Amino acid sequence: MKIEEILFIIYSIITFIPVGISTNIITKKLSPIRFVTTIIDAIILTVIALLTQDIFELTLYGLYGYGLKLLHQKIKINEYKMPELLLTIIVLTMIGNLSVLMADLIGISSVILKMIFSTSVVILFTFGYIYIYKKVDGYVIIKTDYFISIRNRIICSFFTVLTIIQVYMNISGNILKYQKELIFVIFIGVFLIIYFLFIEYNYVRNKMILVMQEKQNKDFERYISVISEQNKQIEHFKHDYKNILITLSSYIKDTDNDELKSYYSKIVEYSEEKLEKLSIQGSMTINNLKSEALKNVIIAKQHKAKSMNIEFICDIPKEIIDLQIDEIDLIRIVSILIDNAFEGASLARKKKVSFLIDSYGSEGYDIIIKNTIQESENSETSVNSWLIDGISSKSNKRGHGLAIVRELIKNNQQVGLTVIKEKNFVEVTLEVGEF
Amino acid sequence: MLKVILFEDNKKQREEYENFLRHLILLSGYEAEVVLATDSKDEILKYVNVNSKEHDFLFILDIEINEDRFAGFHLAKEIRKDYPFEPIIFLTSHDQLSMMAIERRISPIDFIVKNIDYDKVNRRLREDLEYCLKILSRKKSVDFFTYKKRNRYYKLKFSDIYYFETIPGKPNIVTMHCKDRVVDIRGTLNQIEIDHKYFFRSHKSYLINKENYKKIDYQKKIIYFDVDEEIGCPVSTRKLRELKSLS
Repeated sequence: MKIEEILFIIYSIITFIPVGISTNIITKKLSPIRFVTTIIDAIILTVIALLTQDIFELTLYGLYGYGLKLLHQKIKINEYKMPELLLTIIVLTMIGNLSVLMADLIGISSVILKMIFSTSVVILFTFGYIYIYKKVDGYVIIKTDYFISIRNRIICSFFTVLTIIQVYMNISGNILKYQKELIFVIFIGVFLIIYFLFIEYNYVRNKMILVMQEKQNKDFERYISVISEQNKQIEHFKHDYKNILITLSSYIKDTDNDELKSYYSKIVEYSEEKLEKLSIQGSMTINNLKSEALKNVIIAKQHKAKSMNIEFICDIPKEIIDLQIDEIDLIRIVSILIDNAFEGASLARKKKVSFLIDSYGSEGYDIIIKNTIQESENSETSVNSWLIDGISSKSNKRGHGLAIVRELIKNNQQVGLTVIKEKNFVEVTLEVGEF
Repeated sequence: MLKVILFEDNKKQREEYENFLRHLILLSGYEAEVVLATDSKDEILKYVNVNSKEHDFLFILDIEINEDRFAGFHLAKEIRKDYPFEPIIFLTSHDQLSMMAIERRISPIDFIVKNIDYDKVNRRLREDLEYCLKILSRKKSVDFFTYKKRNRYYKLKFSDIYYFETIPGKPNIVTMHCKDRVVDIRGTLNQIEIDHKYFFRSHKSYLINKENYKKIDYQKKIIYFDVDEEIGCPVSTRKLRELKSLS
């Protein structure tokens, strides 16, 4: 045997092994036995190739062989696996072919060098592919992702066509004539592979982050619901206990037993102090709001309130799932309204802002923001002037905010705004839905 | 005659409140009477149905009745169906915070948190009773504009309303500008103009209360509703002349 033939054998074995291994990894069936069978397969295919002495036919036989093998192993070829499989096989064998062509282009004429070159390229590519594959742990989770299957189909079709063209050219002996065009197309192919791999890597990684976040959120929600449940029970107890004390007080009022009366008043004093501290008010209900973005805005405002020394209470008694209007608009509006409320409350004697979302089920919900204000005998600036940004003689920062809100809800049939100003508070209600 | 109805499940507490109210009415000579003190929701509804021709009720409802934590609220909703404006007072052991949503649906005149010290509660009841009696005497002579929101009726004195304006882009909603509030309500300027005689269409998009304006600026073509000239709306040229002839 000539040295070239030996090298050819070695080359084919080496090229086929990565292909075999990677298909096994994709189908998650890598084991020592499989490793051995992979090598045996490679040897068999090499023998076949030697007989035909054609590298392209080798490719095709390889595909064919592995295809049969899969079917024989009765692997469930679902939408996800088939394209992936084909992709891997086709891609890697194409890489092999391309590298041979590239070697020609570069000017490597020696067969040995050509083989080393193309082998290295294939191995590098294979392991690179496997590396990325393993890196994106949990790839299997997005099995039926539409994006990925579309992409797979595109790449598979491209390469199938390319393979067919190459085979034809090889057979008809016209390969030298179309060399330039072919090489151009092949380079596009290489670019496509690399590009798609890159996109896929990022895409899958981002998806993974989302999946992790989802899991974290679920855990957090579960934790919150446990705590809320406990809190509710504490509230119930508090309430029952208070009732008991109240009823007791009327019986005790009527007795003549002074010792009992004094002991009772001690109990009352102690209880009143404890009942105040016992449970957390309202802060748990924020989880009824299912919009993450809006929740974050409210939390940020809570911090802001703390820094401004304003008592900020948020109460969302029922679940709010469907916002019914554009989330971004809503966030802007709520932000402006709460900021306005803070501004007003900061001048008041008792700085307090309350935020309530009252749900009417499918008919929508109301967001009510109430804040204390600086008390003045005559209402200096009336509510009306706050909303008119033009006719009023005094321009007012608060009015500007409310005027912006009016603009934002202007064309939305589903939203209304009500502003009420009394002597020591202002209440703004945003009505969403069929009010 | 203000008819007071009390809804409370705890017998001792019920007796306390009832006695207090009776004593108060007797001593102060108020035109009021405690007509019913019970723990039965059905009894109250029956009484109200039977006496539906007579208004002037004052409902004092304990929110938590026996096992039902919101019994008082449900009863209030039933009452509101037939009596959208009758005064309701809620008694509760809960703190005010979680009651905000309930308050908005019913608009009680007061929300009393039950206290171990009966005097505190009694003081509030007394203030509320006096308030109701005052409202009662005033009620007959004033005209009201009613509107509906979220299945609840609200009413406003006509003299508190300044003007209505349309909102571009929202055909069936108008903004009502009043003395201490600005409210978006469902309706059209045309409908309101037809329904009530107080209003004048000063502009395609504005309906004003012709009994309520303070000054017309003929140059700027704006009509003002307050002395400081901050609350105003435009008047169309055509209507300006008409308005002048009216005043």
